[in-house]
Amino acid sequence: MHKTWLVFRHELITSVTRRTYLLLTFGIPLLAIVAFVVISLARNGSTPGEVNAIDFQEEQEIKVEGYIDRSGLIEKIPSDLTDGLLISFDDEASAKLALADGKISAYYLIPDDYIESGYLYYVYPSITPLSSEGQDWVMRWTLLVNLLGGDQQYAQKVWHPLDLEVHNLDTSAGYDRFSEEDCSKPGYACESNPIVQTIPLATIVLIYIFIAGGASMLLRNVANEKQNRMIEILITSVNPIQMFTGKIIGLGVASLIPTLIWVSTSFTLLRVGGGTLNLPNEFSLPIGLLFGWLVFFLLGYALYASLMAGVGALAPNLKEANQAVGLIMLPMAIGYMLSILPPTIEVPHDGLALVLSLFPLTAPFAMVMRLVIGDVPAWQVLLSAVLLVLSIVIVVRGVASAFRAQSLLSGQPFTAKRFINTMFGRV
Amino acid sequence: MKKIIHIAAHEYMRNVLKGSFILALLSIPLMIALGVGLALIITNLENDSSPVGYVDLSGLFSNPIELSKQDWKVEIISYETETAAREDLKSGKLQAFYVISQDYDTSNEIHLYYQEEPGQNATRQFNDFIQLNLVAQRYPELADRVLAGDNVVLRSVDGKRELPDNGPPLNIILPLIISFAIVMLILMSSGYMMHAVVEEKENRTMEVLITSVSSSQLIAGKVIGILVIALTQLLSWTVFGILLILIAGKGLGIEWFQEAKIDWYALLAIGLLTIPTFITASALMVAIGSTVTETQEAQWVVSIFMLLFWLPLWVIGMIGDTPHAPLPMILSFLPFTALMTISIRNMFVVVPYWQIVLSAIAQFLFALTAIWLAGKAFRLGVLGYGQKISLKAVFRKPIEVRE
Repeated sequence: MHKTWLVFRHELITSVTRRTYLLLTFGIPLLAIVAFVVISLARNGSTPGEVNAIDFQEEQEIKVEGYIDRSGLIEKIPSDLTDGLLISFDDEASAKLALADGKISAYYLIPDDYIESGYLYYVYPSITPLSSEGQDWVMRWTLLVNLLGGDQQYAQKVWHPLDLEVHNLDTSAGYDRFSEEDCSKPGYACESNPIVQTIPLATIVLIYIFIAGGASMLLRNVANEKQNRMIEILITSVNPIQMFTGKIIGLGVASLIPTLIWVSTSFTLLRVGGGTLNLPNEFSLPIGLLFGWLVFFLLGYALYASLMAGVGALAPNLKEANQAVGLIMLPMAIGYMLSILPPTIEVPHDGLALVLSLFPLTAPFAMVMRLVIGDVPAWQVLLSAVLLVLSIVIVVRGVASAFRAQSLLSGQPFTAKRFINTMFGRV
Repeated sequence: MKKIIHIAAHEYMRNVLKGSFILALLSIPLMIALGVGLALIITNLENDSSPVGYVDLSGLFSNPIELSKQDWKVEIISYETETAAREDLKSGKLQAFYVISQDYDTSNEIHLYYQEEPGQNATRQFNDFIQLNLVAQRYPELADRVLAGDNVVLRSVDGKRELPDNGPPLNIILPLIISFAIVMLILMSSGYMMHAVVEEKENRTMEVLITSVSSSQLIAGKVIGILVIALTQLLSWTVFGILLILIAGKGLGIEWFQEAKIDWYALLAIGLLTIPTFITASALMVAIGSTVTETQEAQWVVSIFMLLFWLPLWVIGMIGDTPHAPLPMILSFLPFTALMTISIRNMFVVVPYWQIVLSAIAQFLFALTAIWLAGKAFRLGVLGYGQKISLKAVFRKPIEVRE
């Protein structure tokens, strides 16, 4: 026990005293807090009324544009568009001149075969498809009104033909694209607030980074000690199992500290910073969530770190360990990728999301995402945790057999077959 | 010369026969396949081609015009009563049904009933069905025009760039894809370059090698070997790209791939910038490989280079919005960022030729500096085994030995 403690202490101290570790653990959360305070102070400096007035004006602003109508279709400008918003030009040269003078912000070119081809050229100073500054709807609306004989009411009906009243006959169904917005909890149901909407996604990304980071740290540690032959000296005085236990717990605590700091900082900012982050009033995050996050992080770390330690023990050097790591990273990456897919996040309590949250290799990501969204049946959380614990027991037993002197000291190349055989105690 | 060829052949065979090389070779095609596959899966999950029903209480759609079956795959079935539609929904025959209210003419009100969220294609198709019939009642000759919508084409003021509103065509994004592949290639090749130096230092092969070849022969051999590896990768990716365009465009008839035209101007710019960028990256990797003592340490520095190479992609929105603003201009001349920035700018505007030439000259100057630096670092690194070589030592004037 004393030796395990010594290994644990050594791993913890060497990890937490590295500069990169300190920067990652405290630097980024500190940066988030500073940014939060600056935004709060800036917000306090201006009255809410002023901010809203500017936002409203910016949203409503429609720029003056020109058009050259070679099809002869436009006879009237719809009455709901302000006078002078669309200026007619006889030729493109005069429109270009007006654009250069800043009299118009862009111009449209309607070709003479518009009715056959539907082509509408929008000459715009910055033509990036990534920009949402364009207002081509103004001309499309004008053309539709003129196509339909100038009857604006009729054109409005064609433009927007459905005023839908939605009835979901399955009362137990969750959120879908017709559901009413729900901003009381994180998830896709809160369409008006991107922060609330992306919290589940951010949670998966965070847990993935920390589990992958912590597990890789253990792999590098074991492989490094094998490469620089430190292990040969260590093995003379420490039992391999004591070493494995000390390392996994030491590096686990080292990974847990930044995880706790990051998660509790984000959690606190989300709980107290509603106004600054423009969160809806009804939005809340239950405190129990932190506990769930912590449990699944620890279980996920224990599973993946044990697997990584197994790879580290069997690979003869760091280079081969790095190449073999794909074997472990693959299920982790698949779990992560599947958990962030829209069908999983948008339907968090059914189908793929349910399977992913119960399967041990993907459970840490998918279950945490579901817990953040809320309303997960208790039996599913419990079953997922139990399955994870059982998997950890099986993996740890396998890794323990890899942590033997002949594996640690052998220079045999790493193969997937040898790894799997060792995990199942067939060596 | 024989020794250089020998080293180059050794370097080439050593890397090409590895499993990781095959993986790197397949990485771009695999990434594209994965991206396309994921997009197809997501689209398919959002769509549902089972029928939808409707009950028309308004009487406006009693003799409807059907949508073309070729474009619209979801069958739209008319029901006399809501009860009949509801029964078919419960039995799973319908994915959803609509009830067009009696006063639809004045209110636009339509009720949608479902048990599971209907597919996006189905709701879009029903919207089009109503739109088509509304227009056809008064202007049957215009129904198809209104339904098809406008083909808005964004055009730059100089008229040299056009982008359809449904996304950039292949010929516009092809230079960006090529630059992306070249950056991947540069990063991989310079990674090989650094490993070639660090590994041999780490396992002390370098000390043996240097007894029979000069340091410049060694470096020349390695550079040639890795250059040929890069060309092998480039050739494989080009063949893959051409095959993809041919299969998707001609074989599967996908329109987007049929528009593949080569923008020679953008391609020439890429060509001009690739060579010096490749030399700069490889030379700097040799310099780093010579100054550090362990592979792991070198990987840290490589990650910084990777960040620089991908920087233009992070600010692609800003470059696209303001291609002539100070930041895109600065990035167009800096080493590592120039290649990608100019390719991105070329998507939206035609970058003036003088800027491309000036940037290429700057890149060649950077390449010469990097080669000089690499040579110095390598000589120092070979001599100072096990020691970290500081930047100060690299720049220090060599001590002259007086006889």
